Amino acid sequence: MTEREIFLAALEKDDPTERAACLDQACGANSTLRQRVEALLRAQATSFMDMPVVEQLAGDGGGLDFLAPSEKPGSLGRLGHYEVLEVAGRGGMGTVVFRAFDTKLHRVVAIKALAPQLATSSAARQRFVREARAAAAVTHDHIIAIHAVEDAGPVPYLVMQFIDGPTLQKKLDRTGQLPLKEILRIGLQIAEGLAAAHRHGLVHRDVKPANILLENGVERVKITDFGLARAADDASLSQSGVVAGTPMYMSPEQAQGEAVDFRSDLFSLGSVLYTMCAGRPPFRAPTAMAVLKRVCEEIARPARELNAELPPWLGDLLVRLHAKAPADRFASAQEVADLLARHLAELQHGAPPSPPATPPAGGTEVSPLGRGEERKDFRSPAEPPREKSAAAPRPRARRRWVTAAIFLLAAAAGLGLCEATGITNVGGTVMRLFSPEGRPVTKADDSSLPKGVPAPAGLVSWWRGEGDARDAWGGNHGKFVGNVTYAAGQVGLAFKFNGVDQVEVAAAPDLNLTTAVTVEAWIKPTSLYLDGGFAALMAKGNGTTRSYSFFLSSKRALHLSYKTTAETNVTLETEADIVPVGQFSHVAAVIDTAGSVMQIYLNGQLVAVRATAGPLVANTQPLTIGLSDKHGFYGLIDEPAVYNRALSQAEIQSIADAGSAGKRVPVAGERDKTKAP
Amino acid sequence: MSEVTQILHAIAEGDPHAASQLLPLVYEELRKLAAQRLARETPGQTLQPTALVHEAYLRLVGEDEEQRWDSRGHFFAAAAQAMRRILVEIARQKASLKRGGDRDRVDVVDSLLASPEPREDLVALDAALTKLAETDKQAAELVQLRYFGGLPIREVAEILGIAPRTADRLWAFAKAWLHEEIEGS
Repeated sequence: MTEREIFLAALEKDDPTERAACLDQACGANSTLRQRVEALLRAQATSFMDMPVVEQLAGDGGGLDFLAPSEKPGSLGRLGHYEVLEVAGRGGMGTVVFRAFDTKLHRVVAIKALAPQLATSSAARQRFVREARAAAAVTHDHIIAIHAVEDAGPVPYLVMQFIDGPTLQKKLDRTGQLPLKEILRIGLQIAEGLAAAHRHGLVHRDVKPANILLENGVERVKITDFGLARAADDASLSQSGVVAGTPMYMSPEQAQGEAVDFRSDLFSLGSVLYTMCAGRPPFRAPTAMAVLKRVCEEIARPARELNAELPPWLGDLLVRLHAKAPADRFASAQEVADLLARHLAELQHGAPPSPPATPPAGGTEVSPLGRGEERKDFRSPAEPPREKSAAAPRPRARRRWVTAAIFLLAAAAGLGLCEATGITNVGGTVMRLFSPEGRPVTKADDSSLPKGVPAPAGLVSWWRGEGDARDAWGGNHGKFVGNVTYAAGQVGLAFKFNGVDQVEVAAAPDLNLTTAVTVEAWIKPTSLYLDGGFAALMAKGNGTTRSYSFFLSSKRALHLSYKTTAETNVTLETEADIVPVGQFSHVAAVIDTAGSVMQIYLNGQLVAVRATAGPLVANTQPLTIGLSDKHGFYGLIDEPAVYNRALSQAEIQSIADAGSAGKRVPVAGERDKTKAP
Repeated sequence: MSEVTQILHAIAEGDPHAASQLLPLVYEELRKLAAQRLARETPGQTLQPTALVHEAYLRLVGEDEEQRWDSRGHFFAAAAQAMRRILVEIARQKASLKRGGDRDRVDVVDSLLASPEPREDLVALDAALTKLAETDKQAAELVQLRYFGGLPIREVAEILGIAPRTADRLWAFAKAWLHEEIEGS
C-alpha cells in the first residue's frame, strides 16, 4: 500500500486503538513508513490550510489577527483592556473601526485601529497619532470625544465615543433632500463644531456627510474622522504634496494642492449643506478627475432649482460658501453658525426676520476688517498672522506636485481609501491642472469639456505625450488602449505601463516621417521580469509595416531599428546593462537618413552609432508607446516625444539636463501646437 | 477577447511572464470587491469567496467571455492558477522587502503591503505544491482549486470529475503531505 492509501485507511479510524492496529497491519516492520504516516496524520489534525487563502484575504479573518484572544462569548478579541465586539466599519487611511467594551469603565466605546501591516510604517503611525491628538484637542458637543490613544503596542489605536446612529450620508441615502428645519439644525451644529475646531487652530480638511455622525434619538451631530485634520500652520501640510480628501466635497484650493486653511472647511460645509438641500452633491461627475475639474472651474447648479422650498437667503448662503476664492467666503464658521441659528429661530418661533447679515455674495473682495470682527487676521481666527501665511500663493516650482498629487489621490482611491473618500470608480482620466507656464488649464476626458479651451502660451514639441495625449485644442491625438495609468514622473506625470497596454498616437500624416526622426523620453523600467523578448518604448507601426522601433531588451540594452524599402531591418544596439531598473534615465534615438546616421543617447551622451542602410519606409500605422507586437514595457515613460528632424547631441543633452531638474523646455524648431496641423 | 482573457490563456499555457501582468489588475479588483462587500455586509457575516473570485473575474473578463471557456471548470481552473501565481508573487516581493530589498526594484504598492498576511507561507507552499504535482497531479489540482481558488470541496469534486467523498479524502491527504513537505522531517 502506498503511504496515501495507508493514511486514508488510518484516517477512517477515529478510535486511537483501532488506528494503531490499522497502522500495525499496513506498515508491519517498516518503521520509516509508519513514522511517515503518523507524521501525516498529525499534520492533518492541524488547521494548516483550513481556510483558503482567498478567503483569508477577502474576509475579516486575516485582518483581525492582532487582537488578543478572549474568552468572552461574542467577543472578537481583546485590545488592551477593551473587548472588541464587532467591526463597525473601515475608517480612512487603512484603519478599521470597532465597537468595543471598556472593561474598566464598563461602557461601550469605538476603537479605531491602524492596520497592523501599516503600523510598521512610522509615517502612517505618526499620521494616526496626529489625528488622535487633533481630535482630542477639541472638546465640543459636536465633535467626537476622544477618550484615549494607545500608540506603544504593535497596533496603535484610539478610543473614542461610540455614537449609536447613522452618518449623514446614510441618512441622505435614505431620505434624499431634507426638510428645511433639518437642514438648518444639522448645518448649524456642523458649523458650530467646525468653529470650535478652528478656534483651536485645526482645519478638518475632510468635511463630508460620511464624517458627520447623527446620534440616534436626538439627532445630535458629531463630527468625526479627523484623519486629515491639520493645524492651520502645519508645514508638512503643504510639503507633503498629497492631495487627500473626498473630491466631491473638496474645496478648489484643496483640489489644486494649494495650502488650505479653515476657509476650505467652509467650502466643504457648503457642499454638505447643498447635498442636504438638493439631495445630491453639488459637483458630480463620473470620475474623480472630472469632479475635481468641476470643483475648480464650475458653479454648482443653484440649489433652489432642485428644491423649490429653499428660501432665497439659503441659496445665497450656499453660493457664498462656494466662492472659488477663499477670501470671498465667510470670515468664520461661527459666522455661518450664527446665521443659521438666526434663521432657524425664525422658523421655529416665527420671530420677525432680522436684517440678514449676509453680505452680497460672489465676486466682490470683502475686507476682513469690514465684517466687524475683532480678529486682526482673517485667516486664522484665534492665532496671530503668520509669516508662512497659509493663503499666500505657492511658488511655481511646486506646481508639478499638483499633477503628481492628483494621481496620488486617484491611486489612493483605488488603494482602498476609496471607502473613506467615497470614490469607487476612478477612471483613467488625468488632469493637468496647471500648464508649465502656470496658467490653470484643465484637460479632462469627458465630453463636457468646453470646446476651444485656450492653449497655453509658448511652443511645445512636435508631438509630446503630456500626461493626457488627448489634446483639447487640436494637434496630434493619442488614445489609451487598455489600462495605462499615471505616476509621478521626472517632469510632472508619467505614463505607467503594465507590459500589456499602450498609448496609441493616431496616424497623423505629419508623423509619417521619412527623412529624419528623433524619439526621446524618460524611462523608468520597474519590472525585473523582462525575461526573453523586448520591451517596446516607442514604435511606429507593427509587424511587417513597422517604420521604426525603439526598445529596451531583457538585458537592459537599448535597441533602435527601422525598416528600409528593401523590407529589411536595420538595427543598432547598445551594450547590455546600461539602463538601470527602478530609476529614470533619459533615452533618445535618432534616425537620420539624410545624414546617413543612427544614434542612441543615454542621459544626453551618445552610446551607440552606426550608418543607416537605406531609406526609412513610411507607413500609416499609429505610433504606439509602451507596446509593440505584444512586447510591452513595464514601468514609467515620461514626456515621450517625437521630432521631425535629427536632434543634435547638445539639444538632447539639454533636454536630459532640464528633465533632471524637473523642468521641461521646448526645443527650437518645434511645431506650435496651438496651430492646427 | 479582453486582455485579461488573453493573459489567462497565456497563464494556462504556462507563460510565467503573463501572471505578473495580471497581478495588479486582478488583485486590485479582488481587493476592491472585498472592501465593498465588507462595507455593505453586516459585521460578523463571512464573505462568499467563490462568488468573490467569480465576480472579480467576470468583471475583468467580461460576461460573455465566460462562454468561451470549454467549461466552467476550465474557467475556474485558470482563475485558480492565476490567483496562485499572483499571491505567490506578492508574497515573494513582500519577503524581499522584509529582507531589506530595494523598494524601487519591487513592484509592490502600499496597498498590497497592507493586505492581511496569509497564515501559510505561500512561497514555500508554492514550491511544495509544484513538487506534489510531479507525483500526484490530481491532488495538486485539487489544492489549487480549493486553496487558491477558494472553491468548496463539492465544486472542486465536480470540476475534477471525482466523487465528493474522494475529494474530501484527497484534500486531507494533500494538506498533510504539503505540511510535511514544508515543515521537513
